[in-house]
Amino acid sequence: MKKKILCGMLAAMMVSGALVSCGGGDTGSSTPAADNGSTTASDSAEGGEEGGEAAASGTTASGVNIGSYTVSEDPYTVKFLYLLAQEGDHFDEIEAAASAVTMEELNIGVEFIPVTYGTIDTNLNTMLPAGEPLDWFTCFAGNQGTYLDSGYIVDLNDYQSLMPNIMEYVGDGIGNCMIGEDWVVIPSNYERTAWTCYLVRNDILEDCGYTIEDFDGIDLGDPDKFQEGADKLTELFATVAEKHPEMVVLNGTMFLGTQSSCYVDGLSDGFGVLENYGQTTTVTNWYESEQWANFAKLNQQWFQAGYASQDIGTNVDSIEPILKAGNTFAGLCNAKPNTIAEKLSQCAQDINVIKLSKTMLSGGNMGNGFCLSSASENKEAACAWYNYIFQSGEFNDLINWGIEGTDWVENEEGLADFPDGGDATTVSYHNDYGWIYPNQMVGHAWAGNDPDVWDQYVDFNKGDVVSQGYGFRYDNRPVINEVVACNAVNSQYQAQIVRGVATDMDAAIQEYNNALYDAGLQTIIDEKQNQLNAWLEANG
Amino acid sequence: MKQKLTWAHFKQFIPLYIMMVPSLVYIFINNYIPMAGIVVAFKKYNVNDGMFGSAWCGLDNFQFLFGTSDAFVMIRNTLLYNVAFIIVNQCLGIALAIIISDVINKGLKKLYQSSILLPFLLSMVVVSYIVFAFLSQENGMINAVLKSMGKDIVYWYQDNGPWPFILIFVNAWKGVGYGALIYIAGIAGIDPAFYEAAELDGANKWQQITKITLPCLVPQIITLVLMAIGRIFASDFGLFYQIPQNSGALFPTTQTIDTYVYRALIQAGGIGRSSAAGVFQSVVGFTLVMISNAVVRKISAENAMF
Amino acid sequence: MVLSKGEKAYQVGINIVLIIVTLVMILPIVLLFMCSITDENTLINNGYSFFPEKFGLTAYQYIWQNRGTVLRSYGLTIVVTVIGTACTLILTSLIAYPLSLRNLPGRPFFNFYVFFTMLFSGGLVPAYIMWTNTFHIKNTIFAYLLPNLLLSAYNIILVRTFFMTSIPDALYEAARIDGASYFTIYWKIVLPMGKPIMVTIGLFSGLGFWNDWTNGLYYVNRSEMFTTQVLLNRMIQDIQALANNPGGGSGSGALVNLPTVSIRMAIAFVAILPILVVYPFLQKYFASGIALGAVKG
Repeated sequence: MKKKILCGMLAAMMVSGALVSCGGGDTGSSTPAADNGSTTASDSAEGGEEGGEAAASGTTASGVNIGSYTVSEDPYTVKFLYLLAQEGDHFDEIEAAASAVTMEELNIGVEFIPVTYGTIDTNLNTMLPAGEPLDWFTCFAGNQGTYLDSGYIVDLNDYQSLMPNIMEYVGDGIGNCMIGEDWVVIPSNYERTAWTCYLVRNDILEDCGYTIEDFDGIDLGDPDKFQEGADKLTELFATVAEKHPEMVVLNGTMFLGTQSSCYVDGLSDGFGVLENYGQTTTVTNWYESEQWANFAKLNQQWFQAGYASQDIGTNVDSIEPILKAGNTFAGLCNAKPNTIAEKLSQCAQDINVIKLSKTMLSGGNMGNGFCLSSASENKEAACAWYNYIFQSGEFNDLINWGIEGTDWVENEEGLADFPDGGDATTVSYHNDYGWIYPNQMVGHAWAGNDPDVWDQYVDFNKGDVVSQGYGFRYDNRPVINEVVACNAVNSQYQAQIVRGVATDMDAAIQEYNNALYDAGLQTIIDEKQNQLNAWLEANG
Repeated sequence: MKQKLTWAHFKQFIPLYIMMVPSLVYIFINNYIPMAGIVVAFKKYNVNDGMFGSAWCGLDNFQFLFGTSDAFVMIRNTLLYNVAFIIVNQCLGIALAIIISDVINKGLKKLYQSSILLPFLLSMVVVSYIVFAFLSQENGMINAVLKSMGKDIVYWYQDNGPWPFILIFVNAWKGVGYGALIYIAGIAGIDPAFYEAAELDGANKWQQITKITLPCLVPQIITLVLMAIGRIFASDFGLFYQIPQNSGALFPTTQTIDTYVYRALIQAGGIGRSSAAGVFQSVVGFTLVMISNAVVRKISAENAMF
Repeated sequence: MVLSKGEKAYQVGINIVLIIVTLVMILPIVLLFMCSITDENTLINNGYSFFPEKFGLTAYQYIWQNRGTVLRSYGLTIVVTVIGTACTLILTSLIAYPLSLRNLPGRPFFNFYVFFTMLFSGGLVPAYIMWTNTFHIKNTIFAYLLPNLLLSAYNIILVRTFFMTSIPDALYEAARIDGASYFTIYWKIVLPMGKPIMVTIGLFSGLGFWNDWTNGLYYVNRSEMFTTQVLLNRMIQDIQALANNPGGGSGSGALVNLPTVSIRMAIAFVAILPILVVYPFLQKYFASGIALGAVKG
């Protein structure tokens, strides 16, 4: 209803649009990093015209395309639930500054509801069923089916005309943000693909007589090249173990067999995948494939040879803090353009990466982002607000790095850095969670990165190969009981196998797969295949 | 037993009812009103229709509990562990209470009383760090000792054999102080004249314990045990999830209903399923308590709970 | 007092047993403390030990950096614990006393009314809806007091059982004959006679309020309203989340200076430290409560 009224105000819009085209040079964001972010809506004035079917298109005084939204006389406060790395002590100040970003032009402010990784599930699982007033909240892909079914999430299709910047950003990837007919999530702007790689201590590597170039061209995902790559790695680990008997060669929480969004397109949960970097349209069970068994046996070989930590079967600390302690040589991780800069600072060691895979573009990372709660008290305003802050470098910097001058300063390269040579413990607000915030790429990257890091992301996100399932997202609601049961099976069996600590690997894999089929894996695979076929037919 | 309830007889109790009112009201608000929410277990919950407006779905939400071959393992584990916990904790608690009460030296007595309650102050997460410090395969103190003695190290988190003992020990270590203090208070309440009379009759320590202390503690024991039986299908999530470090290899001996529910519903859960699990645990616990209480009533009506 | 030979042997025996028990109870906590002052890298490389090679205070420095928040939370926790425990003791004894009287009409019903709450609960969400929508306790001090902790069926039943077994009926009868009202009996006889159990329950419920972090997790999300346990639990979880999910960051080194294992130990130690300090004082009342009940020995 309201939308129609808004459309009726077309005339008013056009006037404001005309006004803006005079001052079009100002992009609303004053940061240099924002200008580099070419995936984003910094040139929103043009973007908006192709933005949606709705003909209405308005622009604010500072040049932000707000689509068909008309600024209301009544102020509104958006309730925004997002992840915080740790508690800060001048939170109110940041909230006020963030409100100011949108207040002047939209008459909309913001109230933050901070949660942490440890509390987000509990908080969402009480606030959402209670229908507590809430607008946008961080939401991961796995929960969205149930949330949609329970009526917690709003279908964003109804609000397309209010979010021209978002429409442009999501583009043809929108299929990955949809469950059935409903558009459920606006993905956070982060990498869409990744290499699997070994994070290694460069100093030890060179001490053992290797250089990182010796390991170029390894692709464990290619059946023809697997053995060659595996042998190279085994030789390296054996040499390190021999020369540095005091070191643990391998540790961490990621393993070849858990990379279900790298070697295969895991179609969101890994139960039924598109094998061979998604270069097929047949859904199969990766866990009984030869590739997966090879991965497991390779890890078993390394574990039994004593390269891996004795505690690897239950280790919960990721590889970065372990490497930092200085007693470990390598661990698996996902890599992206700025990985070395990132890991150098996280590990405080001389770090390099051995890449082990191609990069595959799939929809997997597009399921994580922000959903609009059905308890929102003004959904139009909430959408207009999100559309606005999405292109605001100021807003994205605020929630990620805090107040400029207090919590961070801009260095001569145009990157954000700690004031006066401090570190993460000397400032009281610092998250570095850009990947799960609306749009880190209009904000500042952190010092140590290349100044053009966000441009590198654009190329990187195209991927070496594109999964044939890209653009397809499966709707897990018809098979939710089976998914629940398979989750339980995974938690029991998978770690022992992929981490290589099971003694009889073939038997363990057999037992694992039997349990999966008992739990209804075939039903999930069939359902996925049917949905994929239908999608291929419609989009093929 | 039934006295005829005349107004005159009833009137004298009114002050007692008034004393109870604040507590009864609080219990009604805190416990009884939310119980209406149990309907969610039988519904396909939709927030827009509300708790009572959502569509019924029969027993669908219960399916995931029994749809797996692990159902037997987790129910067995939950039951056996709780039985073991009841027996071990009550026996240790009573034994400690008796000997601590007998300690003459006031200073030592205080020390003992304080120390047995210390582990109770720690959260399970912290206890899991401590246990890991002992059992870690790479860095643990036990394996360090084994190594120094030239023996093979033990892969504690891969070998499910010792875990029943580890869990029972950890649970007793953490929880025994609680029960012991209640029994100490109980023993303190026993009329000392009993013991004086017994000593005059020449009863030895053991006879005093079996003939006086234990019988006097029976009401407390029955209360504590009955209350534990009520929770026999529930389990301390932290104990079974954090202490074994969530290791899959240990599931045959560490998986309980609560950990299964958590692991299965960690994604894509929904409040219907989690409340179904709660209802199942409550119904079974309720039934068992009613039966046990009836048995107690048969034997000694005096000590029955209600 | 002169002890017989057998009595002496008995005392020696039980003291040896109890000293072993005490060591079993205390040593792991000593280990916790030692780990918290061990250098992080030593901990990872050399393993856990009562006698670390190298000490490090980074964990405590981390907490010290947050001292403003930590101290404020201590204040709030003390307020919550004191008010909560007082209310619990009053409410519990007020209902336990009538329930301990065998001739109270409707007693089985009330017993069941209390006991039933131990078995069935409506679950978190309905309670959450009620407390937030009807009582509006979110982000107030009531969030720590009202849900669940104020009164537990468990405590009521323990106290009731104690009153039933430890206060002789003859005392009541004598008082009634003297014309004492029920309230006088409650005040003059029941409470003094019930001191051992009241102290025990007070201790447990005090610990309950002090250690509770679930109410804070559900009903409080502003950091200025965090109690110590809520704050420290969040710190532990946040550090763990940082350690477990560093991926995706753009490399600002939030991790570099955070010790993980030792900091968890330090936080745990800081959380129980005030109890360790206050405990001996509580113990005095506790012991006097017991001495009052037991003249023997």
